[in-house]
Amino acid sequence: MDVKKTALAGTLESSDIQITLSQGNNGISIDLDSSVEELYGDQIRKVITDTLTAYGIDNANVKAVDKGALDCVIKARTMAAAQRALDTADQPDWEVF
Amino acid sequence: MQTIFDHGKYQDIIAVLQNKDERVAVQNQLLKCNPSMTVVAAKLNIPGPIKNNSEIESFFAAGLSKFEEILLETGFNFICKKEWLDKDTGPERFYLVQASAIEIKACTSRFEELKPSYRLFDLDVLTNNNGVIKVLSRSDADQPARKCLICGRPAKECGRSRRHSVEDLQRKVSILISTNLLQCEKEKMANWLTQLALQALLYEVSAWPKPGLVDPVEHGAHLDMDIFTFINSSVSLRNYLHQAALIGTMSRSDDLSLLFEELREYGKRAEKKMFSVTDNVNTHKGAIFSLGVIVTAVGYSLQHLQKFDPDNIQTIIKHMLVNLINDDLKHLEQKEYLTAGEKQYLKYGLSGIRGEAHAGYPTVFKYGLPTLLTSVGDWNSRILMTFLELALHIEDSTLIKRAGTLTIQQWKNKEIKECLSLGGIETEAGWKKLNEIEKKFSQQNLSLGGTADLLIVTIFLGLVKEGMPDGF
Repeated sequence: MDVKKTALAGTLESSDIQITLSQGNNGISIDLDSSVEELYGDQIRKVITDTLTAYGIDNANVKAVDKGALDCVIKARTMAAAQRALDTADQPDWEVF
Repeated sequence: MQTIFDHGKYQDIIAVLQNKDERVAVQNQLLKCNPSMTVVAAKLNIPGPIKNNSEIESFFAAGLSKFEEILLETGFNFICKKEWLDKDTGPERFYLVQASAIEIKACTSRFEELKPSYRLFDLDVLTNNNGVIKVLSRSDADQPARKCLICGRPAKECGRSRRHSVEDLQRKVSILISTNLLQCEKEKMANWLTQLALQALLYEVSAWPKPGLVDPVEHGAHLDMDIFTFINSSVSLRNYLHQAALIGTMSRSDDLSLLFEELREYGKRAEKKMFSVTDNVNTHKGAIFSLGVIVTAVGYSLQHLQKFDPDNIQTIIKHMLVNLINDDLKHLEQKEYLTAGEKQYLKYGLSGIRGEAHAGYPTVFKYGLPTLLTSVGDWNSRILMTFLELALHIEDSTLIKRAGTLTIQQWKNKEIKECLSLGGIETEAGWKKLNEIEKKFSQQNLSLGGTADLLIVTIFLGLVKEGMPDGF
């Protein structure tokens, strides 16, 4: 599935992550900005990719600005962005969560 | 171990994230409507699922009043624009401040370093740069990254890896907050005692008629002062009384004579200040001593017992003043200038107020306070009844000084007993007698200055006792 429109979720507050999803055609491509990138960059990318895959999204450009978010926060914010991008419900898909 | 986290509502991730969205919306709105102002968004970093409860909320409010003091002292004007103090996701407050982000960041840094517990505060500084909202980060202000509460590594690393258990983090936070709240309680107690001490000074001078003393109606025995001199004097002592209260409520020492030495230095400064606002008239010299001692002693007693215990207060006073007689009345022969009390010690062997103080103010605790606490009617009546009782049982050095003879004591006691036997101020005859006594004192230029000091401390003790919650 592809994203239909650009969508954003999350804030730049500490312990949060801001996810922007936009159309892409080269698989899931993640541009990550994080102060803990060296230590946790791969893990953050994995959580984002896994969450998007669970929604059936195979192609998307992801801009992620991380302010020290935990995995559960990354997942929740990615879910919210995905649903907005897919123009589905405004509520998270609890089964994915 | 009990922590402050044994109550409060668990917050899930969705609630916390929704709150972040709301916070950002508020911040953006404030910056949009006030583009020339800087926003300070204040919140707490509380690890774990419980983000708010009564302790957390009190801690937040008390901490921010210190932050506001910093802004006030720096001269940065601010408006508290929005707040949610009891929200389950944690207390937050938003300020609009008229200063640049970097200047305000200096204030927030100063605040965070003020007390160990203030590192739990998270004060974000935000500006609107032509429509672009910018958060001043710690590194923008040359501040090191936040360190972990437990191990001192960068906080983000420990948070990300969940290196420490929620229980460990909560235990640490609980200690920080509890310690701070205890300190706040003591500060509140000191402010309360200061206010009551000032009230006691003003209550005493306001009661009428008081033979040999200044009251709002007459001051025939003290032509060099009036009620206004006393108001000036009382108000000038506020700072001193607060110092006395702080010594008592805060002291970690068990060397009580040291507390007194410290108090005495403050007392000397307070005397100077008093003389400067009274045209060098002695209004409250004795009160500076006695009220200072009692305020300190009450503060110390409340700090340790959390209830009003007259015996304990007396014991503390005795320990504070253990060296008083020896230090003060030992080498009088060599002194060039002697006070009334010192002269009388040499002349009559009377230890005066020093003796009374040294013994833990027995006249106050045995006669004054019980009379005040059992008295009925308005404050004027209660104070006068207490005044008569004290005057009857005290060796008033001011009276002896003015009269120049010890026999004045017998005359004074006869007059007061007569007034009391007529029913005191409760009856018309007693009231008339009291007015007559006042005239006699004025005509003969006699004073009951020593009694006034004890009356002030008795009123103070009565106000404390009656102001304590029931059962304390």
